[in-house]
Amino acid sequence: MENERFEILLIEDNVDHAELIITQIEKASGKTWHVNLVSDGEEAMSYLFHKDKFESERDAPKPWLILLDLKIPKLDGFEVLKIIKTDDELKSIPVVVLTTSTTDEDIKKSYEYGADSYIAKPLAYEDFVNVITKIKIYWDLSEILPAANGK
Amino acid sequence: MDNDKENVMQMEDNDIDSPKRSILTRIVMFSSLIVLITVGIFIIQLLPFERRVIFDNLKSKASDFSIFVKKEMIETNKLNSSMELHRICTNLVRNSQSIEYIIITHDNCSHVYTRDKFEKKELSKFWRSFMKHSVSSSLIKTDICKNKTFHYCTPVWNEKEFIGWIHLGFSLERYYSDLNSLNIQVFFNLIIAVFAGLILSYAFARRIKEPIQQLNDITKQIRNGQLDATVRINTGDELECLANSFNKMTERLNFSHKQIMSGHNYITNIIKALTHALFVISSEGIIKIVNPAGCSLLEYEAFELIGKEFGSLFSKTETENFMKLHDAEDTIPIRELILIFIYRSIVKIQEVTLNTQGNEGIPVLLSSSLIYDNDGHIDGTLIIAQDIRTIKHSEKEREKLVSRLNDSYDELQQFVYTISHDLKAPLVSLDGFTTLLLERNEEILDEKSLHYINRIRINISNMNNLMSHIFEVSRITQDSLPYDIIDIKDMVEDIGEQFAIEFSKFNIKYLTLDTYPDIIGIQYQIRQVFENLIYNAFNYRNDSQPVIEVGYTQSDQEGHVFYIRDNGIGIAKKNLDKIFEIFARIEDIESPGSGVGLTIVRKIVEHHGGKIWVESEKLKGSVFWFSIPLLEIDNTVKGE
Repeated sequence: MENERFEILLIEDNVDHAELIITQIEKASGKTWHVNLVSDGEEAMSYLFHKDKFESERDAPKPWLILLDLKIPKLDGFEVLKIIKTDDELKSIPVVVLTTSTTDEDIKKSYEYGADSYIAKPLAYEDFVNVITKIKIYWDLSEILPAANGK
Repeated sequence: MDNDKENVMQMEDNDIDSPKRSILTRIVMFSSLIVLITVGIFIIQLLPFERRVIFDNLKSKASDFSIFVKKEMIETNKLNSSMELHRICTNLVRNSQSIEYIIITHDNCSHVYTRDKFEKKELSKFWRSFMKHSVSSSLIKTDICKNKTFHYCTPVWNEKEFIGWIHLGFSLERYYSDLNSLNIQVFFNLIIAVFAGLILSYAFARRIKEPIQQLNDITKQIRNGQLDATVRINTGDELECLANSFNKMTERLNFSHKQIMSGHNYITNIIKALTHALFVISSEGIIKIVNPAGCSLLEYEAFELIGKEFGSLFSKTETENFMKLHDAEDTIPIRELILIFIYRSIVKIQEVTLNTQGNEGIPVLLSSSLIYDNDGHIDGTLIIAQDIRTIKHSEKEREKLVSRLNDSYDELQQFVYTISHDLKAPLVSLDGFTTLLLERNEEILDEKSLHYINRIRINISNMNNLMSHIFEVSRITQDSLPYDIIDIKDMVEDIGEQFAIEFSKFNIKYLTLDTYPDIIGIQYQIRQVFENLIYNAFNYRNDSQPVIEVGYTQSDQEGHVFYIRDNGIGIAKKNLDKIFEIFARIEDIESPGSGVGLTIVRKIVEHHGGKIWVESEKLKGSVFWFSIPLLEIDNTVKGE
């Protein structure tokens, strides 16, 4: 478990944001967390369902956490969220929604669709790393405590 | 049907005008009857009188003769010679036209002298005895030959010595002829009298008839509507009185008729002046009255519309709609459908399309109401049609404008959304990279460079705030959040607690009331109003003994009125108008506000239907008032 990499799937079309997020995560985790980046909804689907260039498990390891930007091309973030949360295999993966909007509607909608947490994108990267760390801790705990497994 | 009535009336008029018996003939007939009766009675009275006169005449004649004969007889008796008597008698009989015979009874024999012969006869015993007893001549005064002879006899006395009888027979023929001529004369007189009577009565009747005829003529004129006609009769009798009272009557009639007509004209003129089309239709659906507006609306002449079925004016699509609406079969005539439509819609106002003569559909607002007669029976329907073409047109225009407005509103919302989202993404990047840059090079960079990077970061943060506020302002009216009952007391106290640390730090007195009314509104927005205003008062506080007061009054016009009073630095008069404008910071004040707080407050208050205003004096403080309309707390809100 210790040497197993903590795989994160980042679905983000903004290259800058992606770079910032990856930088932050790697900095916070000491490179034990590995971020896999896809830049649109369709690519995310290919990754999660091992299609096209993500056919082999090696190229597309199953993530422990999905960071999902709501505004992505081709397949809307909500659509992606819906597919993940209705798929039997994928729905146990925690999804943290990233958004620039702070409107109640988007947050509410995200939770309705099954998102596990939510980070408003603005500028607080410390918060961002905190949330992920918390989820990681929760995740690790759920691994140890079988009763909570699958939650 | 009305024509029939009129015909009947015309016929009745003719009957009135030509009397069955004229007054002239009646009076003439009546008076001639009276003349006839009078003359008849006169004749009946006269005839026996005539007869008596004749007979009296004859009698006196006879008595004259008998006296003459008696004298002769007495003398001859003395002389005892009858020769003289005989001669006289014979001469009398022969010469007189009237004497038919003379009989002298004397010494038991009778001497009968007639025109032709003389006879001497012995008297029978019966006559002999009779002779002695006879006293009065009248006893045997009889007609011997009926209607032809008048018999007269008288006894002859010579100084109490009865001598005999004298019998005289007068011929009546001549008297009868006299009588006849008399009768003829009477008859002629009678005819003359009748004629005279007729002429007189005709003249009289004419005198009576003329004024009556005049009355009759005037009555006819009045009947034909010439109410100012007057009768002129100067007979001085009852007819004049009748004429005078007749004139009075027509005068009054004329007066009241004029009054009625003026009232009628007034109403007619009102109907004419009506700018909406007016129709009166019978219970059969036939148009009876239409006003000029109705004619011009439908491009008909009035005479073309009157008598037309109202239903025929409806456009084809309209009638088809009725068919569908009333689930009617094809067998029901349109006319009845229209009637159903009108009668069912006693108070309703309906929008229908009427066809003009040129077959152009005109949308009208049709309001119909039933007309009742004095007995409470339905006497037709009054229909007012309002041309709503212009209304329809402006409705369309309005719809266009509203949809354009909606489009631009949507566009604006989209725009705001884009600004606050898409413009934020590069900001996020800028912030992230500058943060990384700073972290990476903090030790290497000189003070100046660090300052520059910090300025960049502060500006990024400012821009981020600006965009958030724009978005926030735009969201206020867009929110379709439910209205709740808001406990203002709780809210005001909670805000006090929220700012408690700051308040105590600056020794601020926070004054609240014991009670506030509950209001209806969007909870978080109302809270934002109080928060922003209280925070404003805090920000622009005076340094010595600052006070913030949250008060309340109720106003009839505005509803709930809250105010937040401070004794802070106040606002200059020239700036009072600007403070609610977005990003309108008052330049000469250094303060930590974003410049959007009051804009948000005003938008929220206005969104709740209220008003916000401010009273302020530089260096003395400000009062911000805002009103929230009184709303009935209905159950649906309570339920939530």
